[in-house]
Amino acid sequence: MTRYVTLAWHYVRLAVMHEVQYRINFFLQIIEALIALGTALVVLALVYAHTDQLGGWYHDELQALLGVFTIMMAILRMSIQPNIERLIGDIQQGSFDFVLVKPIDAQWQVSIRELRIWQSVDVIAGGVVIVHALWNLGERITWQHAVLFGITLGNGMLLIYAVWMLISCIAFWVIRIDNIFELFDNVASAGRLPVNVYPAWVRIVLTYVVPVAFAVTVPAQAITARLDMPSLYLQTAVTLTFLVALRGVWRRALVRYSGASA
Amino acid sequence: MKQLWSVYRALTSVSVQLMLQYRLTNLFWLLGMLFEPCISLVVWSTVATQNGGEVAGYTTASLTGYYIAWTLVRQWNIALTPFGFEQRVRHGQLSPLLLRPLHPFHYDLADFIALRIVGTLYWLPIGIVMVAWLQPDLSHDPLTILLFCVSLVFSFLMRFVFVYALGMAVFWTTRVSAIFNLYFALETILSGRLVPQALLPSWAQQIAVWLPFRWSFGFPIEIIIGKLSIAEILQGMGIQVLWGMIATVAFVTLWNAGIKRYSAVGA
Repeated sequence: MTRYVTLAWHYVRLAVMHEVQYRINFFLQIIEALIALGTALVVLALVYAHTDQLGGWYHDELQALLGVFTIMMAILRMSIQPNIERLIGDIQQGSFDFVLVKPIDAQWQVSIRELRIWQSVDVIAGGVVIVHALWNLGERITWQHAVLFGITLGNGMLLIYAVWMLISCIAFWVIRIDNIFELFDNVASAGRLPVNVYPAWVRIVLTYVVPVAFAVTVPAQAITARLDMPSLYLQTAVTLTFLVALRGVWRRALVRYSGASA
Repeated sequence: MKQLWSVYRALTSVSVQLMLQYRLTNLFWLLGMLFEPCISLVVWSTVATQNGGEVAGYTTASLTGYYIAWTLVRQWNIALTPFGFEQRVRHGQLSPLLLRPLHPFHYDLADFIALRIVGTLYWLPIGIVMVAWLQPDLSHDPLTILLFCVSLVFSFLMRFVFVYALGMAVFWTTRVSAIFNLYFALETILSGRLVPQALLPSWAQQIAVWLPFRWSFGFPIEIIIGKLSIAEILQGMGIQVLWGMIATVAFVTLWNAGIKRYSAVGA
């Protein structure tokens, strides 16, 4: 077990050492984060200039949800996506062989190799938006809420990891899949709204196919004190199911892999 | 002139054939693009329903029409961005283009015309299904539809030249991304891509009239959903042509000044 953690730690160190070489990217990332969040906040302001609630969510609550969405997307771009891009590149070029010959679990390895530390700017920006929204809501955050938020956020990250990894496993069968990811990225953008706003069939897609409902809406419910316990259990169950499914598919994928030159 | 025409025909047809090779890619790309307007449509229909069926003069049906037309106009708005130009200069891809017999602009324009043709072909069945299924409020008047098509072509040409001219910035600096991100964010908000103009606060609407953004995006959409009179449409097309001319002058001036400074990366 310690071997796994140590390895992850070394990869993180390497990533940090690599990325601090490009300090200007930090400032560019700040500007980009400000623009993206600014646009999203403008949309919210426009919506709430014409109504006072959207599907039962008030302005500040939806702002908190936007903060959660921003954090989720940042995690996706910080760690999950770069790792997957590298994995797919490895599969296409056959350098996945080098992962397989190393004496540590392959899935663990391909999940920790990359880290874009400057993306953490977006995590912080999302956090600031959440804090600001909670401040305006004027609610006192009890430690129970904070714990629930932590759990649901963690679940959400694992869930997104599992779904994105599941899609990338398709690369073992079909080589060119970059467009599927683009499609999924677009679907994920639906997470910036609470799922109950959408028509029923879209809601089903957003809950069980691309589960942004569980990844974004549920943590946002937790932090704005509107979470009920069944949602928490369901979120945990869905996360576990996706993780187990991923493990199964991953094993089959490994059997299927035969090297690019073989 | 006739020679240029035949060059364009040849270049465009080659590009169309190249793009048609990747049928699945194109389809995924198009499907992915549908999500942005879907989200906006959901938000604003919800608001309209909550307000008793209307928001700033838009009913649910006219909002549906707006965002269906959006999907077509969005496609015709795609241009060669400064980011693309930056990459070209950094990777040294511009130099070989300069050696070709025609100005690089012609090759790019032909390529993007081809993209419009392929994109529209793919869009047609999806558009027809959406119109039949969602019953939007769209104009049936043949003259309006014709004017819409013309203004669509105008908005494509106008924005293409405009954004191309912006790309000339790379002759002076190859770090353009931050400025242009801000520029495109402004464009997204003020052009009608995010929300119909009428939903913006009135001061923002007044600013938008004087900027080019609205004329390449919101304007053609407002034609097809029947928000504008014939006089307003013709006036708007005049403004499109005017912006197109301004963009052309800017592009030619900037290109001539910039190309003298250009000394390929790596040289």
